[in-house]
Amino acid sequence: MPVYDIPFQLDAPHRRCVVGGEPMLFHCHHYNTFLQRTIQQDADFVDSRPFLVGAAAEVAFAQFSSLFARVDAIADRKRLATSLYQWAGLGTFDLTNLDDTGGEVRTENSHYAMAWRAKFGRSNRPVCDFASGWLAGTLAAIYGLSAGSFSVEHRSCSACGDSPTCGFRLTREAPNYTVFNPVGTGALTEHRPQAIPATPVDYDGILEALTGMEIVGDTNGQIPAFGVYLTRHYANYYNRISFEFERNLHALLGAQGIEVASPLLIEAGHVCAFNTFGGIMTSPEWDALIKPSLKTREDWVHGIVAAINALGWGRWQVTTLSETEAEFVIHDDYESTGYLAMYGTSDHPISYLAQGAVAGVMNLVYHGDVASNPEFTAEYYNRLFKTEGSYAANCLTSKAQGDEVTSFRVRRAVAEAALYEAV
Amino acid sequence: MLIYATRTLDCASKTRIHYRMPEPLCERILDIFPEAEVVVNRFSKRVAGARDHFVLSRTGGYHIAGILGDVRIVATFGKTARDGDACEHTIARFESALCSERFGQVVQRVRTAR
Amino acid sequence: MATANRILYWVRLKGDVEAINRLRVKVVRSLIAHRITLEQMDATRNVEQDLIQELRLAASQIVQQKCPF
Repeated sequence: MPVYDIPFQLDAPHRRCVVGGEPMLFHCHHYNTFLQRTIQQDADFVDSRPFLVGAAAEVAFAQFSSLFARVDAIADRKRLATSLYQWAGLGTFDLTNLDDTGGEVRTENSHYAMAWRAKFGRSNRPVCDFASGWLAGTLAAIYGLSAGSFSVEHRSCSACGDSPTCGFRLTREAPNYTVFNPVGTGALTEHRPQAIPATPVDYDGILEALTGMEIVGDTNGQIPAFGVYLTRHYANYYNRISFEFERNLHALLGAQGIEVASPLLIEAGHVCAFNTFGGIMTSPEWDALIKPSLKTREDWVHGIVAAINALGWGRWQVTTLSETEAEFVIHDDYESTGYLAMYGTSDHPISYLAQGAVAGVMNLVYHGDVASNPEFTAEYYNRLFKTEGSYAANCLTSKAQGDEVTSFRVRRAVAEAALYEAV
Repeated sequence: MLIYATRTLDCASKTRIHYRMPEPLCERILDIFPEAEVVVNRFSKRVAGARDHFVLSRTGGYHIAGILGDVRIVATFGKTARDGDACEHTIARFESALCSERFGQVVQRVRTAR
Repeated sequence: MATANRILYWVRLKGDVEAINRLRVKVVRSLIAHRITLEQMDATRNVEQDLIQELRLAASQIVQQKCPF
């Protein structure tokens, strides 16, 4: 395993990890690719490339501009950048051939290309928009230039199957993507944790144990853990692409744009919960650290909530809990914090990932009996989220709308009426 | 002294085998691959009742995780199932080592598709 | 039964959980243009052929099989 020297700061009171002023958090390849497919391919009438690339350039430029204040030599800057990229499970890059005019770079290890092929098979278009933007933002920071100093062309993509590598060309000219103003960590609050039901689950001990684990990229820049490929990704990348997607649809279609975007963004949260939480709850790490203290199914919910607090998503609590229903409270959920910093107060709830994830927790524990160690197949996913008795979440309060915390009530959904009659 | 093995694929089509050992694992398992990078997470020192977790890994070769004092091992081999022979060679080496170190005598395979 | 309803039923039957939501986003502009929602496409509702064609194409993409309706 490579040895890393990444200047990350664990902000335990806010349940966050910050590197160079940018909050970074764990998400798996299932979530990353599902979200990208929704934005890039399902809504293909939205011109998404400018913000998919621009969001990556935004976070990379902000992060490295901050980190490079204490790193002078170009070679050292390139080393730190590639090391961070690899550490985060995003893949590998060799930036030595790039200079202040741009240049070409290729890699055999791109998270999005690998993940796309693993989840969806061959893609009919290049998928490494994140890597494209990251390169453009990083190169500008390396040479002390302003944001948007390079255009970037994604010339080949291994997800398309016609090349074993992903290739990129950077040129010193006007950017061919949107240049956003970075927002960093946003405004965080002083958390006032609420009372939770009695449980033997040791929240603090689990947080300490999980945040103390070395969950970092291997020599290929991959983090195989909990049965998925993890990334320690940029919170503001997810925020920017999700909210720009929604705003673009709103601009094109009005309120109906949000109505079609939100179920898919919530579905991405289901995908995340199913794969990442499911992977965690059936892993040897779970069996060693958390399972010994679990006596009831309610304890299983507490156990996974304790683990979620180590993901960098903010402080999660479950404040009422039974098989019938549960309430989840999230302090400084990363979606709301990002939205407020990027766009100001929202007129509707926007914590889509969280909304899907809390429903996913209840579905895994009560509806899918994750304690029986199921296989994580498409059939199991459909049973969890598609059959009668599945749980769904309603937003009670939203930090993005001005509330102190974001909270959800999760209940078994009322059996869906037969909207479509049998053939 | 049977070791039961259930073979499947992980989400990136790597070969994954779940082993169930006849006896709880002891620290001797950590030495089974001399070239492996070994990480032991001493969870028992952080959380009451927790047990210690280990990972033996080599990039592109294998990722073997388990719990000291437990009978379960989850091992993922190769870059992808398409690696074929190299992957099977590593599996054979691991299972041979398990046998020769007297963790168990026979490995029975039950194949399942992911 | 109306063809649109058959297509939607097929997508729900053959597709993943998110299939209908994916279909909705793919055809949303046409739904607005035709002033209709997927929920209104019941067994008795006939819709224009151009919308049927678009639904059929999107359904095939999402389910990754040729839509039989």
